[in-house]
Amino acid sequence: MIRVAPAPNYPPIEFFDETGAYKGVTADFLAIIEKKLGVRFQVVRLKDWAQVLEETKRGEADIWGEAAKTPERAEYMLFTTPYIRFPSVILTRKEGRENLTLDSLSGLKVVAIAGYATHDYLVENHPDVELITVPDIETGLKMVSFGVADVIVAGAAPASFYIEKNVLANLVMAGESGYTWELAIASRKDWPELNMILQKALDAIKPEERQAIFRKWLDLGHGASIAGKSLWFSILAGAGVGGLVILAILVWNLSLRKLATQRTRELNAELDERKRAEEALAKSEERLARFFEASYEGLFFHDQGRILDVNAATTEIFGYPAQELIGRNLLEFVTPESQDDVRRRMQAREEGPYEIGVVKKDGSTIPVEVHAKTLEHKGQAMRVVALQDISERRRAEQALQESEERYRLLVELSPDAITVLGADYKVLFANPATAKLLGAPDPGALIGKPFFEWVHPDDRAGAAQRIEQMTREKTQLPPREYRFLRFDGTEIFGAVTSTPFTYDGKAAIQAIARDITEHKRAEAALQKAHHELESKVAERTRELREANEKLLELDRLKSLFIASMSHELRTPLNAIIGFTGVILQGMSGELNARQQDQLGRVYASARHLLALITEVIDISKIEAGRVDVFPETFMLEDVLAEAVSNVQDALGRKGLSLEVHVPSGLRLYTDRKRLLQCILNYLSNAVKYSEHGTIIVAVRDTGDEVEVVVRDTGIGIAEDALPRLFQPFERIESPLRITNPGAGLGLYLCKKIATEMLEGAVSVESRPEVGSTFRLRLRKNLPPKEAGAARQRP
Amino acid sequence: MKTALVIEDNEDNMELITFILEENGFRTLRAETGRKGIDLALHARPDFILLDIQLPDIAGPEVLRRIRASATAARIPVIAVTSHAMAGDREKLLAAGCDGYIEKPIDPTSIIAQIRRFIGEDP
Repeated sequence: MIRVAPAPNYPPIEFFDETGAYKGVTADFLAIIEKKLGVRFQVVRLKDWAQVLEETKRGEADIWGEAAKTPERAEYMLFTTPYIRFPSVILTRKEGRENLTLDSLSGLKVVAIAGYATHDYLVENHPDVELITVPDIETGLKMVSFGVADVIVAGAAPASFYIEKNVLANLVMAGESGYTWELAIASRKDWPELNMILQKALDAIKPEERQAIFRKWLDLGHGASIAGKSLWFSILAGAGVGGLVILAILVWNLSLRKLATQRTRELNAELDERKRAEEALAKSEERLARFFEASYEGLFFHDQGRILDVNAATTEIFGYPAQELIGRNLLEFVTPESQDDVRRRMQAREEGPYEIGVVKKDGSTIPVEVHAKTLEHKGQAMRVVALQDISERRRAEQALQESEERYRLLVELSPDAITVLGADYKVLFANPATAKLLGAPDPGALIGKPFFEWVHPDDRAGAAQRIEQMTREKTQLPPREYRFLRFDGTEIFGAVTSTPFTYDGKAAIQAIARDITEHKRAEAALQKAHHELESKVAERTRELREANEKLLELDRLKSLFIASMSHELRTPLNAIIGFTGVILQGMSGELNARQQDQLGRVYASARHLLALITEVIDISKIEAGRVDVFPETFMLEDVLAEAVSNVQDALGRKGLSLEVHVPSGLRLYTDRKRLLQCILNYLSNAVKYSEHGTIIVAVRDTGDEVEVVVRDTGIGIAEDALPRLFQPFERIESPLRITNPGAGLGLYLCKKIATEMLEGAVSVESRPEVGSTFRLRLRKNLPPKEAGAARQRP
Repeated sequence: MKTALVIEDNEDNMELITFILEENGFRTLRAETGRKGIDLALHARPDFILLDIQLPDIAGPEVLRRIRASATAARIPVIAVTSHAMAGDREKLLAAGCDGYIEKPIDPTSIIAQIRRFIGEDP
């Protein structure tokens, strides 16, 4: 048995038809040879030509019905003389390329069929081309037609067959490879007798038989296209080698004539059909066009990448007007990164959706989601593509992602413990601060555990109740303090705010807790300090109250003391003064001069002592607020006259003169006795410290007040001593001090009376050796005394 | 010769005042308590009364009030004698019906003149 391994897919030379029958030029040649030799070949069907080569090398096949002789094949096969010839041509898509040769293919994507001689030739002689190896011609042709590859180098005969079969209307012959297919019958080299027999049988086939075979397989009838036509020329040209030219021309003419008549008939029928169809189509298309234009989605059609039509939304997405899009290749509008992806998906007829980058007219890039579908339209594959600008969606996704990232960071970095509790208070989530708060090694140690494990047993019921309430009322309750038990067993205080919310689609509680242990401690310390302070204050208050009571008692004693002093000290002194006065008057008998002088000294001293006592008691009473003011109505001139009468004797003794300037009828309502006391004090001082000149007493009426001025021509007072003048027990050093005894309380008492009883003031101006001026200002009318009560200082 | 009733608890003062009065030609009646003073004022019919305000049994103003309230002694001039100025004494005494007011210590040179003025006897 002789085994034949045909090329399974190399029509019209040899191939298997739909029923699996072995057909083609070579099949017919082999059938004649079978008859002539009286043998039967066993046909071994293999997947592709590459497998044919492989199986033959392994000894699984004996004969190839047709093959080109190459040095490599010649190593294990013997060849007859060629009996089929045709050129190897270069095919490409209609757009552009012309006059190609094998030497001008560098840089292009070139398709060749695995195991074919052209393939070996290109590998060997043109390593600079980007060679795409495919298992058969049909695949290769489609790749070029669809734009996946640029050119294919293939035999003219099989190429034309497949172009017709698949209506690959966009393919043209761009040149000849310069290589001519010369196909011969090959047989195993280790069986040379077989080769000889086959050669003889081949030679025995008559030219008529050969013509019949070629006519049968090369006449393809009405389907011939322009591409086919040009191929036929090349086949004819190729066939010319070896005496087949005439045959080929014959075949060509024959087919052309047949084609013409058949086409005319078909066209007429088609025209009628088309008219009807077109009317229906026009309506349908109009509807479709409206829908197409109105769609918010970008819609466009393309054929192998070439844009055929676009709608308004597409022009918006690309940023180009329709006329700048139609006719261009869609890859021009795709970002470099998306190019390969788009090509691959287009070729694989993927429907998507998938995302690509689109470069708009303004140069900006936007993400676009693509849905695509392949439509068969009049036998042509066309893609309809729907586009959607997903920039907004991307931006929103990114914003969401950023927002989530921000939230995650907040939660991760938060110093507050943030915990999510699900059903049964199990921990669904815990941030690092939660682990820190509870002293857990990490947040993972908490997940899935019941949170109440770390809540103080006494606080659990309350916490659960609150969570129930929040969940039920869907509200947030104000923060609450709980005691927590940490991993190390210590107890801490936490302020907790919780909110019901949805976590992973389920009701949950988000709790935020802050460690307030330190705060509580400080608060307790503060509380303690506060209590201590309060008890101290209470203590002090009590002490003060006691002290106050003591003071009140002392005050009472003082008043008693003053009252009794007033009486007890005066009574004996009054007796001394009274009797001394009587004796000095000579009422108890004549005194001699010495007795008169000495008793006079007793009398003066007693008087002075009495004055002193009176002043001390007055000051004490004023300072203790125990002196009453007794206002009465009187004439100022009368008071001045009374004061003057008191010093009249002294004036006479010293030879001083006195002038009194007082408006007559000046009526006052104030304490007469105290006013007199003050004026008398001023006047007696003036007399006391003046040795000559005139003492002037003047009264100035200033409206609500009067001013009594006493001016002397005495020794005066040094400026630095003036401020001390109205202070108690201050007596200014002077030569007259010795002769003018006094306790130094007079002016102090005047000031007290003026300011604290008469609502007035005292002042003094003085120049040493020139004299002093004392002033007493007082209110003319004191407020009327309240009935039954004495006016008292507050 | 006019008669003066001196109501005074302090022995020294009593001696001093009666001495001065007698030296100046007055007759004197002595009362060491308020009670005795009132009694003498009503029954002995003095021409005027010198009344010490601070008495141990009945206070001076009360003594004055009773005298003024009596049928027989109501019109006798009463001169109050007081130690220095318990403030307001003067007003109280004048309001209570005193005819005069003499302050201790007693000045022998002016007391008789004061008394004569108060009892309406010009000096």
